[in-house]
Amino acid sequence: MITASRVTAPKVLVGDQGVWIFILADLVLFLCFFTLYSAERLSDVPAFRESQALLSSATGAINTLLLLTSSWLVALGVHRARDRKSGRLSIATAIALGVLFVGVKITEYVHVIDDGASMTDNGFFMYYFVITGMHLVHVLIGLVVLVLVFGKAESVSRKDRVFMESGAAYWHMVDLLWLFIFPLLYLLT
Amino acid sequence: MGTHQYRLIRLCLWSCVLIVLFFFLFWGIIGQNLPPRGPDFPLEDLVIHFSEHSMTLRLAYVMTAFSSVFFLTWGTGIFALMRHIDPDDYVLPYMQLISASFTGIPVFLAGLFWLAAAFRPETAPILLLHDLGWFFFDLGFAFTTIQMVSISVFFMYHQRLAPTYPAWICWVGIWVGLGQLLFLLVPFFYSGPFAWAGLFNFWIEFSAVFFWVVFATIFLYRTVGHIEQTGAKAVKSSSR
Repeated sequence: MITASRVTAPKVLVGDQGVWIFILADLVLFLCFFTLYSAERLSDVPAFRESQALLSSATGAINTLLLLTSSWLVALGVHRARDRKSGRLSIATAIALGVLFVGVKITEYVHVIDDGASMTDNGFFMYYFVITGMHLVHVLIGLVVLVLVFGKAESVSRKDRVFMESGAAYWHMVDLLWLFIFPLLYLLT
Repeated sequence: MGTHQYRLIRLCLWSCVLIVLFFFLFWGIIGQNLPPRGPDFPLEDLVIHFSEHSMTLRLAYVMTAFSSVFFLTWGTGIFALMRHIDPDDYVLPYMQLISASFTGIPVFLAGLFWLAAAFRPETAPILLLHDLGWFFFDLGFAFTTIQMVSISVFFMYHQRLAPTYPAWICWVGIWVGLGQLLFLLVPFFYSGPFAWAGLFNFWIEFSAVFFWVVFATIFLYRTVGHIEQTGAKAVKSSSR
């Protein structure tokens, strides 16, 4: 049964309040990327479609699944830690899925470059490499953060819980960004 | 720490005003770099620019090179404050000091390259010097990133002792520092948003850096007053 306390929205943001400033600033940066990409795409849709055809939407879908699952597992790990249970298995699996995401992304880069594409070819590939590259940097930073979260997954201190929540919030942002990148770069026709 | 030391730290922090002033006045206005000439700027026009404005450009770039010393004084003031707050912390204050000093080097070298282009515009390899100046100017970001992150992590860690340097500016510092990774794209584009004169790698990046430099200095200045009044200081492992 859902009690009143469970449906009441928390009065403050979870995690460190400052991390939300970082997340907001990052979202604004990517919003600028997406806006510029969309504007440039509108000015030359056929060329963007032609270049986009080199990407595999199946690869993008696999990566979406990996990140979504990873994000869910991190949330599960944080919830378990809040309930004074070990969230280590969830966090470790989330890290493994994040590493898989990196592997799939690098494989995709190798294929795209093998097909003759480069960052300086045209507008599409400039944004493709910059946007996915910046996202990949965020994923790598996120993986380091998740390793630190893993180390604190059995701690009961408030400080460590705040750190876990902050790390999870960051990882959700990485996931959220991908949810915009995937349709924008891989699916939009 | 005596009153004299606090006064010196404040004086060092005022270097921020000189950094901003020199940058806008000499590099920006007198050097005619607002807006900057991008990598796709025609060579003929670049030669004409350096030839026709040789004397004013020499003034602009010699002062740009000179302004690099203010990064050193600014960083030294921050270093003294950090060391005073936590005398047991060696890594972050020294990392900050060294990276602040190194931040001045690319500015100094960029100024010299542009100065050399303006010194003998008839015979100088203008394009090469212009490009080199920009590469130093932009790719020296790595040092600034380390400085931003070390200051931010330090004050985030010492929020109880220095609440006058708010957590949000720490996070902004980390974000701006990491955002400078976009400068790595500068050598790959001759035009567009990621070229050195582009929307991201000039207008957004430089605005963000100056926003952080100014606000961080304001909060650091307030922190000096706070520390002077309260005498707050880290005691081994118990005050964190």
